[in-house]
Amino acid sequence: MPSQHRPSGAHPTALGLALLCGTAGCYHGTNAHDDGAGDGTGGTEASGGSDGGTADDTGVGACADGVSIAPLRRLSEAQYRNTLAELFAPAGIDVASDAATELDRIPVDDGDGSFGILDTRVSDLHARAYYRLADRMADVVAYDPENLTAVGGSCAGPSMPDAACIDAFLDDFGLRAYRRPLTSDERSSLHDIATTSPDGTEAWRSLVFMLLMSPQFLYHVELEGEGDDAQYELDGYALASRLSFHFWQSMPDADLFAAAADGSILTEDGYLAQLDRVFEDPRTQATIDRFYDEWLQLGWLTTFPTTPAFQTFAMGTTIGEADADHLVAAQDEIHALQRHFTFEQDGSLADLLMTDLSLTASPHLAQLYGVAPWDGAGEPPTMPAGQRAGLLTRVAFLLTGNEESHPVHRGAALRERVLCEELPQPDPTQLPPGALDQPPVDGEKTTRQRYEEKTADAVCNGCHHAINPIGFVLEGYDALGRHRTEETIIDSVSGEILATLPLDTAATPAITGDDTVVADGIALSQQVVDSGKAEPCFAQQYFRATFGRSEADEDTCLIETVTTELTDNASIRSALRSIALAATFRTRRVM
Amino acid sequence: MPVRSGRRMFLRTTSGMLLGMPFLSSLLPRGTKAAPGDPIKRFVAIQSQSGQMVADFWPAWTPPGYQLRDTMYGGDRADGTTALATTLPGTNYKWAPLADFTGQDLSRTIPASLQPWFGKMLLLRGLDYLQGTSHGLGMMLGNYANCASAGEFETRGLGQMPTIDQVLAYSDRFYPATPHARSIVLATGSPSSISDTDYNVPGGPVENIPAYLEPHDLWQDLFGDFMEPGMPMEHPNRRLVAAVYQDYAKLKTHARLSADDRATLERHMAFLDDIENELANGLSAACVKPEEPPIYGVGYPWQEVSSIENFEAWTALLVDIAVAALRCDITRVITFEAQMGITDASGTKVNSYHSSDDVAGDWHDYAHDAVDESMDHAHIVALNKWVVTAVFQRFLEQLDVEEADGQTFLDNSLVYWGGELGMDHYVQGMPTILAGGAGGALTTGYYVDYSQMTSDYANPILPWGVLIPGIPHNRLLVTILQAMGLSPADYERDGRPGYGHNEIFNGPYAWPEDAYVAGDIGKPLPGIFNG
Repeated sequence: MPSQHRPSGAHPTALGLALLCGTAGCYHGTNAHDDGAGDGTGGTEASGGSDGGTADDTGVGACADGVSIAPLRRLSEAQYRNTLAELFAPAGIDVASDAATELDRIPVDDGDGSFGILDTRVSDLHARAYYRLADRMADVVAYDPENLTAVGGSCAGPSMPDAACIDAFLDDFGLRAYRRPLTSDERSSLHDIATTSPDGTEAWRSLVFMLLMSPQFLYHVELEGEGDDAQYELDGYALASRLSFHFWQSMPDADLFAAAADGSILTEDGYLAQLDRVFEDPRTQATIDRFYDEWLQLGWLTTFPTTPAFQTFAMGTTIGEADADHLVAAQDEIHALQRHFTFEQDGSLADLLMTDLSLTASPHLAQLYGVAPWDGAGEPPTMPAGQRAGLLTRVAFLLTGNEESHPVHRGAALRERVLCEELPQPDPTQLPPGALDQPPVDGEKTTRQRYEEKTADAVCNGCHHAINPIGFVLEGYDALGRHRTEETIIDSVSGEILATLPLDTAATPAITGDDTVVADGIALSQQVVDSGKAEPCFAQQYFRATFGRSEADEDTCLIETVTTELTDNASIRSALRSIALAATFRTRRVM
Repeated sequence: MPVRSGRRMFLRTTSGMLLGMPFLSSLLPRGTKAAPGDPIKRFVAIQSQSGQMVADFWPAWTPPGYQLRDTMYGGDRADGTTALATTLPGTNYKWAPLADFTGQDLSRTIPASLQPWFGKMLLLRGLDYLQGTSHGLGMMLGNYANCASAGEFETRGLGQMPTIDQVLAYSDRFYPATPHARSIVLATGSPSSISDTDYNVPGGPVENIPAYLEPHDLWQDLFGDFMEPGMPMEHPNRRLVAAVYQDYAKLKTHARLSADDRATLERHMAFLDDIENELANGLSAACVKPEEPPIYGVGYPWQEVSSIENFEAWTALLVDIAVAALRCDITRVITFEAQMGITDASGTKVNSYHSSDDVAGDWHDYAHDAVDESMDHAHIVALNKWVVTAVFQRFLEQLDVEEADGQTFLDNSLVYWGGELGMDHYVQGMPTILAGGAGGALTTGYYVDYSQMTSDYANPILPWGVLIPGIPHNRLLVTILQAMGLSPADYERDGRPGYGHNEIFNGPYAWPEDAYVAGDIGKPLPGIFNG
């Protein structure tokens, strides 16, 4: 569960500690690829390609012994919002405008610096938000004749609905709300609710209210399928929901419901056909965008400061101009890159980490890179030679939120998020006095020099020796992500330029466990790729984001399968898709 | 701001605010009426976020008969604050009447505007959180396991604990009858609260309760759907919510659900039950609804503060509606986490938030830089002063009105103001203010210093002062729980005395035995608890 919740808007590694001091041997990583991934249970042959095929060569049912417990959980915040919108969309009802106030009441999913979907709390505020939305949307339907007809059919009106009219409603709207056909008991209960209402309007209001408050709507209820009560294969409707919620973060569409109804989704060919279709849908791309946002903690900065120091720092840029869109464009650029190497090309994680393509359409962001904006036609421009490679050298990852670069933040972010290494929080009572204060700006020292002095203490250096070198290499980019070879020192209060000092970006990040010296973002990114640590980390993070829980022992095979797709098959696309091919995806284990 | 008109507005009135009106317990709803000598007790906890310059909370001047610590002790113990000379009876600690500190601000942080309540207040110095903890929202209420050192807690097998407000909220002794709302959890800035709960499922997961941010949401849930006295019709949603409840109950029996799954559904059912109760049970005739507040669009993330004026207004409304709920006995437990505050130290009001690199005021940076930067120090003082006046004092003002027999709501309540951590992530000597006597359970009107001034414990000298050990904060938790009417059997766990993380008396993240008395950790604070 979330503990100390990092607020959106706070720097993702700024929580609590500006600096990180501790003892030696302070971090633990996930197994690198060469540490035992791919033990044969879910390797390349079993996990297959991305373009359909037979059950065998696509790995359907892979990791058959690795079915982990799937607890009953509510729809995530995003899933609830999306599902509500799509439930009413066929009737032409825009929930976002009709229930704007009520939508604001949905508690934010707080993944405690990780994926929001990991927040599975059900609180009083959740129940009340569901109540308010059900109440509001029931009103929107029942009190507007046009809406009522759109939802309940031509038989719906102010007079009491007859049984056939209610049944037709339950066959359509009810099925989509429950994401399966209603049982006879459920139908009977809802008929009773409607027919005991004082009038037709209240009957319709009651029906909509009941459906939106139902656990079948608010939770992922997966109870049908072949097997015993402890573990069973999901039935067609539950499987359709699994696909849609994993890849779209929303309810199934008409095709998925049809495939569930005719049973084709339970055949291997039918399932793969649906998987391919779902995967190609733009909603999947949006889901993966969100994965990158949360994985790399992008988008946390929503406005630039207006301090004199930042104004000095940002001179020569278009920041502050009316149409300036640096922050949004920076995030969009990461989305564009991931889409390019996943949905437009069958690229690898290494491609994403090493590419010199610039896909931004924003002239403002392009100016920071020193490239022309790309209009989407023809070949995209490439970054100036020798300056950038992939995600880790892009503005969205490098932004610090003010005029000062922060090598500790950057180093910690890369270690924790990209390499999945755990960095401990220090015991502040064991630290030297003032150890957690940021080193003040000094006109005679670069940022690197200030942080080197600050963390020179043996206690601090226990961890900082692993963090700082990464940040020092990334000192080749300023706090806005602009490439630089010298550092402008700015007084943090007055904004006065104090000095311009030469930069030393050569350091030993030791990502690959050796003492190779690297001096720029390209070499650093190459070391990340060479380390073999990025792929298992990506696989672990993707697992958490898509299943909404931390991995259990039974999930090891699945994570290794995804890792293998990233390494041996060198395909992000296959990796993302492969998660739906595992047995655990099509099975529910209760206990 | 636009105010939504609901379909059932005809059920509602636009009564005036109840603020300042006498309110008699004899007019409370049946079942909640206080018996003579058995006042209804209420608990309010308010937290100032982020780091503090702890010394700013203590008097640093010399009323007649007083001297500074610098004079009395000198050396390492000279910190510019007022020394107390009178011994707390039966102890080695010191205390002084707060009345001795009138005529000017009590301290840099505590303004003179609180003087009208000095007789009902306790300023407590020397309460230490568990060493090594840092940045934890629930720490002032007893849950250290969410702190920034949570990994260490997990490593040592130390679990999450419900905060004491939630112990009260689910106590049959505290709530003899099921309340409308067991607790109300509020915050400014983000929905992360200082309340952690297991929803009264021992051994179940302990979760942070998301807080109300928007006054209109709070009003709507507490007052919006309540049937007015004398209304002839039943709320139309009541039967529907009851039917929904049955859907959950039916699902809960399914063989393909685990025990955890069933617990999830049971929790949801409890919330549905609360909603249904609210729809069924009207307010008492004497309970006057606050006016429906405007919708400010208070959102999360916090950048959506549209104006300082609006922020001030909605903070005031959160307090006002919460007080109305206390006075109507809708709830008896309130927590308020001030993650965002206002500082005017630079001459302009600025909203400030913990770890907000992209707003003008960063409470976290202020705290880190306060030792070296006078303006940052001034911001920290101003932020806490804002919490004192805008939140803490506002609660006192509105609770200090007659409830019955010359007793005010405040007299029967306990309003507790605390903080998250001190300077440089140290958590010793955490500033604590209590107001209200909890129905006579506490002796009030004093500044009590639990610092062990003669201790030889390490006493490290830090840039901002010397660290003098005091008394485990756990004893304040015990004091509060017992003052609210609970006995040790109601809150103690696993056979250990007291409450909170008191199980580790040796090793890191522990109460060092050379500085604290282990055997006392389950006892109330000395000298102020009347049993």
